Amino acid sequence: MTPLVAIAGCPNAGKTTLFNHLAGAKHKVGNWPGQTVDRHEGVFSVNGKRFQVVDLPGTYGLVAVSAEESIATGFLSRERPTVVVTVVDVSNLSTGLHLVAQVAEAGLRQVVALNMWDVVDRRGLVVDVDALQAVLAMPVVPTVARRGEGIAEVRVAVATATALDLPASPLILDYGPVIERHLGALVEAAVGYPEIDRLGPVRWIMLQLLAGDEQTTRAIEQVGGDELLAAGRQAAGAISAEVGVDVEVALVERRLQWVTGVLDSVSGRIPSGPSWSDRFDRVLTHRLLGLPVFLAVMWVVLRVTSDVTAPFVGWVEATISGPVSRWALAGLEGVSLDGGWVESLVVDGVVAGVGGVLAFVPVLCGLYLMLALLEDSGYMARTAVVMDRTMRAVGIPGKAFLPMMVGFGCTVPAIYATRTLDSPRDRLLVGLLTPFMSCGARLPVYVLLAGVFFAEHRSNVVLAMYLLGIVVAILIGLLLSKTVLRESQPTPLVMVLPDFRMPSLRTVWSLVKQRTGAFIRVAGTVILAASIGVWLLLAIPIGGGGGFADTDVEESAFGGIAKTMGVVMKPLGFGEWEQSGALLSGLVAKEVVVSTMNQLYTGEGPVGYQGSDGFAGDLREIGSGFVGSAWDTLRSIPAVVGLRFVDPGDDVSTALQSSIRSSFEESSGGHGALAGLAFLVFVLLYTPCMASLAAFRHEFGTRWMFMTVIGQFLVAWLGAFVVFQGGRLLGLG
Amino acid sequence: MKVTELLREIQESPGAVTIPELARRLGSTAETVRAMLIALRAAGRLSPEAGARPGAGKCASDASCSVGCPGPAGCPFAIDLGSGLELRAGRGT
Repeated sequence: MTPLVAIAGCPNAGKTTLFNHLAGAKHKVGNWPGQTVDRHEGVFSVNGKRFQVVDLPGTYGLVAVSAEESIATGFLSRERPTVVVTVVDVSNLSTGLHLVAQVAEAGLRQVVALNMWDVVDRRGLVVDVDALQAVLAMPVVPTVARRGEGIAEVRVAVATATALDLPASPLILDYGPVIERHLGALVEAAVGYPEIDRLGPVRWIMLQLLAGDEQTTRAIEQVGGDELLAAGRQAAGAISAEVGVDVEVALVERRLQWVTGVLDSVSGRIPSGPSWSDRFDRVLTHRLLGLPVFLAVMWVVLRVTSDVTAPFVGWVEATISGPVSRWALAGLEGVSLDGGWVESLVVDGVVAGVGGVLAFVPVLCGLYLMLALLEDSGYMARTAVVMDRTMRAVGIPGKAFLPMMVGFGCTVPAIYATRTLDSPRDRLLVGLLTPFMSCGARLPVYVLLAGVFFAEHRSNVVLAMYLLGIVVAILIGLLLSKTVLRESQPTPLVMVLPDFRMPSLRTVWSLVKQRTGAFIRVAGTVILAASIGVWLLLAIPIGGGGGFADTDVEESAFGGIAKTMGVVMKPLGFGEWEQSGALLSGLVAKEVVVSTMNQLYTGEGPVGYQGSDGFAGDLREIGSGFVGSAWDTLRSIPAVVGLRFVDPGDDVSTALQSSIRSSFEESSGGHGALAGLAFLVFVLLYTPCMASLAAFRHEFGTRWMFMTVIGQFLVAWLGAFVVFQGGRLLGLG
Repeated sequence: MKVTELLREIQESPGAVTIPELARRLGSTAETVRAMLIALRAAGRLSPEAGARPGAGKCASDASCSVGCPGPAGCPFAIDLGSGLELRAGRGT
């Protein structure tokens, strides 16, 4: 019979790499814990003798606490392989030896592969392999699996261990008088169940029973050991009462004592100070400094996003309103469709609507680039610690940080991310708060309006919107925690942070490409459909003169609906029908606010329509525009640290922005900037987009969805009212 | 340092706490604290925080992010915490 060899080890210890070399199989090796969920098998030979080898999913111990671990622990207890090769990451010896101890207690014959041996010198580790082998009484082989080093030795060690053909003697740890007394009684009670012998050494099986291992419990149930199970439960309770801690904690304590004893005799470390990553962490996750540092980082991110990318926004805008519009018109002329409603649909609907949003692709690109750099460097994980503390301090469940941070990207996945919370109350509370986080779709609106009214302080205004969203979420959370959704007991949380590292260009590029590509896809689908919808409503006359696509926009169906809504918005300083119409269309998707504004304010035709210099001239215009934008972008980089070589107003003085400015000045009685700010606050806070509402209904039901629709509208109206009317009272704007 | 001291320190922390911070507070090393946490996790006493698992924070599906959102990845702030750990209520500690 072919001896069975199992490769076991903690996640990321290098099991799969070692398996690949051992069995010659080709497997993808990644970095995610629990990657090897499937069972991988292979064979290898030593001196003509064949061995069957199985790669097990990573496990930290032999009590299964996850689906992946169940596969590993179930296999070991069921199949009882001839030899277990336990792969131990030499830089995490304590963790690896804790697993080695349990496999030894289970009476399985082991070969220990001390993997990643190449880091020993680099990290100042000292490990005496001979001494370790002697203490463990099993073969120990240093390996560097990714380079194939030590694999031949592992094969020989496995073959030797198999050839000995001796029963493996289980490791016996003394768990102290209390546990040993109860354990002894259980072992005696198990004598009446001979089938338990087949599961492994009886002492080990009873330890597993005490530790509450579900697989052991099921196995004992299957042999009719109900009385034994009851005795186990009673013993666990008695041990907890006598020693003052849960039995599983007491078992861990003793095993770690054994590990410490082994390490004291075989290893050491050349003393060194804290790593640079730890030093950074002391500041970045500091209770007082963490939050200001986070805010400063976000300020730089938004500064780069809105200021440095601005020249490219102007270039895309000019390209769409100039050459692209001319090509569209020329195409229509070619098929004799110019001059009628089709031209209006293409130019005023599609090009103005979709083009208006596409102009902000450089901004989104900038945001995604900065965030990808932060994510891949490891900083974003630190912000989770900072956010968690801030949330807990005001009574919002600490774990809310994840859905809320996801909400900065998109509200839809943020609402689904609330599934990670345990209690329905926490889920609902966080679900209600996530739409207040500024999703990426709102960014084009912020950049556009902030560019019109606060060109000098555009990035500060955008940052203020992001922060205001957090503040409002916290205030609403506080209010709900004290009223309808009272606070539950918070759960302690330990965070294992990745080390800081240089971001990988490949990862960053992949993230930017994926996210920007998705934004463009949305522009080509949802925004295109919304733009056509808005154009259609603009084309339909209600009252007044004119026919289809030939009516005064104010007299159109869209104008009629927007005028009605404008009455409600009047006290906020933006009661003009164009403004309320843009907000109304934003219910489809927030970017649509920009596309609708483009359609409504530039309805007289694209700016660059006139003055075509032929196709070659258009290409020259696009090329020279790109070069100019790239040069301006380079010159604007020093502006991030306050050195300004480009006037921020240069790139934003388009017809659209002039129209927006005059419209807001008119609707607010000369307080345009104040009304613009109130409009931004309204966009930040008002009813989420339809996709978010659908997700909300799916997760929390129709009643709470309507609460969100109405509640957020009221909060937004109130927020904008305070900004506009309060600002007027204070003589601002 | 004992495992029970570590558990007490975690329980008494006002918010999320990191391994180096726990090590500093307990006068131990990050390696020791990490090994203890992993052993507690292996014993089922600490459970991995669902939201901190790899891939968490991504969109539920392509469809759920296709409307009004920046994209299927959709979550510029999505983070991989590797293995956030959450303390489960115990019987005797």
